[in-house]
Amino acid sequence: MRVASKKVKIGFFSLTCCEGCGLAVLDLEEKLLKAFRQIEIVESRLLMEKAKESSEKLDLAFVEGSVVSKHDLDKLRHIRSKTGFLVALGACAAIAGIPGIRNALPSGLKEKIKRQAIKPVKEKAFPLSAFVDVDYLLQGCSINEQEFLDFLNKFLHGAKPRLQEVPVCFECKLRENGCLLLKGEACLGPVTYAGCDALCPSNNAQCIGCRGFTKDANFKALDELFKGLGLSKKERYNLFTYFNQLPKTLSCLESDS
Amino acid sequence: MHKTCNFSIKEITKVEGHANLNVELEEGKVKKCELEIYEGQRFFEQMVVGRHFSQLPLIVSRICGLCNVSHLNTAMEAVEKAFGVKVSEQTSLLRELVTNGEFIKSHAIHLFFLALPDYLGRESVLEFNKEEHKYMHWGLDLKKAGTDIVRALGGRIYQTVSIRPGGFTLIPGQKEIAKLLPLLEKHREKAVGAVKLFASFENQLPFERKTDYLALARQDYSLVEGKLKFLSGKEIAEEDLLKHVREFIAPYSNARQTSFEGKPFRVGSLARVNINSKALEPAAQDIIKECNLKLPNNKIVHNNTCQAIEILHLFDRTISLLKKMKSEKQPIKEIRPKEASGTGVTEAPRGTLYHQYDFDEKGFVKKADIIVPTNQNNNTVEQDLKQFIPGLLDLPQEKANLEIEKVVRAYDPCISCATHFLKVNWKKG
Repeated sequence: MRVASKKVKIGFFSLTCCEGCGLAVLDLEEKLLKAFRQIEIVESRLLMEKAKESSEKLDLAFVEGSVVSKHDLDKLRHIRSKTGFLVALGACAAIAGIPGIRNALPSGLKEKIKRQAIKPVKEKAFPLSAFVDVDYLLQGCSINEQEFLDFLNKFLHGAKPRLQEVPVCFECKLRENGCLLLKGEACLGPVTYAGCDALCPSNNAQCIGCRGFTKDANFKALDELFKGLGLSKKERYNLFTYFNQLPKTLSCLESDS
Repeated sequence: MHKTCNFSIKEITKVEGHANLNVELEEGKVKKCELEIYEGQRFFEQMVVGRHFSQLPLIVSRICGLCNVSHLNTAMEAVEKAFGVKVSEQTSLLRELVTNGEFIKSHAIHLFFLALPDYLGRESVLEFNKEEHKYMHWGLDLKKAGTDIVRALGGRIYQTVSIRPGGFTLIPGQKEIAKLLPLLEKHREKAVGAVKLFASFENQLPFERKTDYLALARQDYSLVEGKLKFLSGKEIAEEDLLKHVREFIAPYSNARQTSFEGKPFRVGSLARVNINSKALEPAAQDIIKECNLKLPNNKIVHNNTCQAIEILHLFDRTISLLKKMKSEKQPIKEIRPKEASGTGVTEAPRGTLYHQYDFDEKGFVKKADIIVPTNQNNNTVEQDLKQFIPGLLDLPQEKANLEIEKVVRAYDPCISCATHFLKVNWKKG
C-alpha cells in the first residue's frame, strides 16, 4: 500500500493521434475528481494549457498516440526517462492502430507520402513499445473508461495490474449477446482481446479488432469462416487490417491489396 | 515587445496537431506571420485508398476524437450519395441528435476548459478560484448533457460504434431516449448563463477584422444538410465547393490552407451565426438581442459567444426533437456499390467539413479528398494576427504571446491543438 499522504504524480501525454482517449479520461468526471485526493496531475495537455517541459519525476505516465516523427520519439524517450510506470493509452499507442494502416500502403503511395511530407516523417507509424519499455496497455479505440479507472485504483493501492488475456467472445457470452458470426456478420471478436465489455457486439456491431489480436488465435480458421460468408480476399484483408495488424498466418491475403 | 524581432510560439495547432507560430517584426510591421504545422502529416486520404466503403467512415472518424461524429456523418453522406442510398427519416433524426450531442460536448469542452481560463486570466481550470470553480461544473454539466446523447445513440462517446452508412446497428429504445430529456432540461439554464458569460468578455479581446464567412445553411439550422453559403452572398452546391474554394500548401506548413476567390474566410460558430442566425431557436435569437450582439459580427471573441449560443439552440432543438421521437426497430439499408463518386459536406463543431471519394465498382476507395475546418481557418488566423500583432508592441513579450494565443484559441482549433500550444520561444531579431 502506498502512503496516503504522498500523492501519486501522474502525467498525461499525447503523441500523434486523435486524442479521443485522453478525452475519454476526462469523461470520468466525478470519479476522476474523487481520485484527485490521491493523485496529483503534474502534466496534462487536456487540463493545463501550459505544457511544461518539466523534468519532474512522475510515478505514472499515460501516453496516447503513435510515434510518427522524431518529435514524437524524443518526447516519448523523455517521458520514459522520468516516469516510474508507463501506460500505453489506446490503440495508437498500444498497436499503432489506425495510423499504422499506412505501414502497409503500396510502395508507390509510400513514395508519394514521403514526397508530400514537408517536414520529415517516419516511414511508418509505430506503437510505443517499438522504442521504449511499456509497463501496461490500456487497449481500445477509444479506451474503456471503466478499465482505466480499475487500472488506476489498482495502481494506487499497489496491486499489480494484469492484462486479461481472453478474447471479446468471452465477454460477449457473459452479456448473453447473440453471436454475430452465426448471423453471418464478419466479427473479429474471436481473435481480439477483451476488456471492452464486448461493446461493439453488444451494440449489434461487428468487433473491428481495436484492442489488438490475441497471441494464439486461430486466424486461419476465422479467415476460412469469412470466406464462407462470401467475402473476397480484398475484403478479408481490409477486415484483418482495420487496426493495421495483419497476422503472419494470413500474409497470403496481402498480395492484391 | 521589440519593434524589430523574430519570435515563435511553439506547439500551436492543427486539427489534431502541433503547430508553431513564427513571426518576423520589422519596425513595428509584421513582415512574416506563419502558422507552421510541424506535426507529422497523418495521411488519412492515402490510408483509405483500397478500403471498403463499409469501413471508410469508421477509419476517417479516427481523424478527430472531439468531432468523430462529424467525420462519420460526412463520410457516410459521401458513401450514400455515391451509391444512391436514401436513409430513413428516423436515421436522419438519430444522426441529427448525435450530432447535436457532439456539438454540445465539443463546444462545452472548448469554452469552459480551454477558452475560459484565457478570459479569467488563469493558466488552467485547475487554478480557478472558489467563485470561478462553479464554471468548471457548468462546463462538466453541459458536456455531460451532450455526451449522454452520444453514448446513448452511438454506443460510445469517442469513436461511436453503432452509426453506419445506411442506418444504425442498434436503435435505442423509447426508454433510453426518454432518459436523455431530464438532463437537458436540468442544465439548460447553464447554457443561458454561458452565453451571457462569454458575451461579457468582449472588452477582453476587442480585436475585430472584417472577412468573409462560409457555412452550410438551412432554415432549421441543420448541421448536416443545406446549401453552402458565403456571407458575401454566393451560394454553391456541395459538389462544387472545390470549384470555388482553393486549397493550397503553404511551404512552411504541413497542413493545407484554403481561400475563396483568393481571399481567406472564416468557418465555425461565428460563421454559422453570422450567416444563418434567423434559423436559430427563438430563445437563442432572443439572447442575441439581450446581449446586444450585433450581427454580422467580426470580433473573434464572439466565436466563443456563438458557440454558447449554439449550445443553447441545440439544447432547445434537441429537447423538442426528443419529445416527438418514437423509436422503432429498423434494419440498416442495404448498399450496393458501383463505380461512382460521392461528396459529403457537413458542419463540424469548428466549421465546414468536406469529404469527397471516388469508389471502384466493388465499393473500394480509389481517391479521397478531405478538407477540415481548421485548415480553412489557418489562412484567416494568419491575416488576423498580421493586423493584431502591431497593436501589442507596448506589452511585455510574454503578455503579447498570451494575447496572440487568445486570438488563435478563440477559433477553437481542435483540442490537440489548443492544448498543445503554449510553449513560447522568442528569438530576438
